Amino acid sequence: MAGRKRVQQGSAETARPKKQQKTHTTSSVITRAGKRQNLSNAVFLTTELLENVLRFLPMKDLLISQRVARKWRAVINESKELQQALFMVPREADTAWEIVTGDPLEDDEDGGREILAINTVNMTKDHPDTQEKDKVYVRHGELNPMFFEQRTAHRDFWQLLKDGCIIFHLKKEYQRPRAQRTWMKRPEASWRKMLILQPPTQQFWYHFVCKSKSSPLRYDDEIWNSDMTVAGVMDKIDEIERLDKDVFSFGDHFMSIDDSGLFCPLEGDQVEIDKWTFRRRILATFERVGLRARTQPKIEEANDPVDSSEV
Amino acid sequence: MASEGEQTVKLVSSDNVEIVTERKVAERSMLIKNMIEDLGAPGEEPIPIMNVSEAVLRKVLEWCTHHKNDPAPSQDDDADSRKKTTDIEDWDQKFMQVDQEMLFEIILAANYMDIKALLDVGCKTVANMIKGKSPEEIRKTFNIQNDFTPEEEDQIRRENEWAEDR
Repeated sequence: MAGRKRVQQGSAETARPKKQQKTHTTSSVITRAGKRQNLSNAVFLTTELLENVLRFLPMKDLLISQRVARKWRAVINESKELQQALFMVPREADTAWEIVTGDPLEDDEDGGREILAINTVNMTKDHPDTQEKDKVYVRHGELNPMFFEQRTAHRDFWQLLKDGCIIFHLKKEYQRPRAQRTWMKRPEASWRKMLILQPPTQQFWYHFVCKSKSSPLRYDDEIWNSDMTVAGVMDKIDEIERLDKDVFSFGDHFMSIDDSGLFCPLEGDQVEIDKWTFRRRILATFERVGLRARTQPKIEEANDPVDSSEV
Repeated sequence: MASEGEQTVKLVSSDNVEIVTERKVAERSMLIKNMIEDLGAPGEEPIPIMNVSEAVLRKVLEWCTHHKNDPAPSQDDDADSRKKTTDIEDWDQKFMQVDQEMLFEIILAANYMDIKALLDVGCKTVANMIKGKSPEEIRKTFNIQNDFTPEEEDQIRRENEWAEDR
């Protein structure tokens, strides 16, 4: 079974089929059960067939499937494609550039914004190869679906961020206080090694918000390398939780992804900034790379606290 | 290539039954396609399909007939099929409503006859049967022997406990 080979052209005039016929002589009940067992073995003990079945499974089922039998465990561990599907091994960034016509920041009818609202790994004003102007090109990536989800709307940031980057949220169930995150405790847990994005981009910008008693909203910004694993994210959350003892609940975790310094690092770490400053910084970054930020004038000036040091 | 739609070929199943079918239908199988090209004179010499019995071969040809006008698989298809969608088109889904033995037979035949699209439909069908099941349920469904030691199994369980719980 394991040695099944595709017969290549013209090999086979003389060989006679035998394997499948054998069981037909004994009692029909035994035959049927035996045949079924043979067929099951033929599929599930053949590496390429088992792999081809497993590649259609979502992550969670793939993780669980490792416990079915040794063969399953081995196939999942040794298949590059399945390891990539599990975010354990980086995928090559081979996705084609997709053209988004028009200005993505323009509120146009034909959905430029919509297109930008999908997972964007890379975004550039000019095509990396042809240098065509006035078009924005995006490449898509996939977020680790076990941990992150893409939020479609957020009161303060969505309007802005959807124009140029995406907001990713750590799923709610991972935002519980440390004491409740019992699943974190096992050092051997497989999630530790998982990447958060496939294919990994060069770097991404991480934004973290938590609520605490002392300050209702606090933001952290950092540029992280793309090989950040889920363990890295969780450690970070832990660290912030330790720093800020007043934290009583986590708010939202935002991530936006870019390439080649679309966002520049903010000076210092753990800067406290208000959301309007934050907003202006992003707009400024857009401007710097030549994306006209049409949303800028729309910032609710009345609510905007005075802060002229920025931008 | 020339228009060979009307040509027929003679296939011989593992239990020695001759089946005549349209060449275009049979050529969904890369195995047969290559054989025909090698043999040179299609229609005359019967083509042995050694590992596939008549019942299964007819079932496979039924699929090939329905899909005979599908565009030929391109090189890019591999990248596309990475998308882990287990959506199966309606006709295929109905086609795959067979008992487990036949399902496995179809997968094995598609693999042997090198019909990638059919192989994928079969594998997706199995994947759909796996989804949402526990390891024990998967083993029970497909008669798979648990060959882990209790310690080994426990270790893997601990690694992925976090995913099983939610």
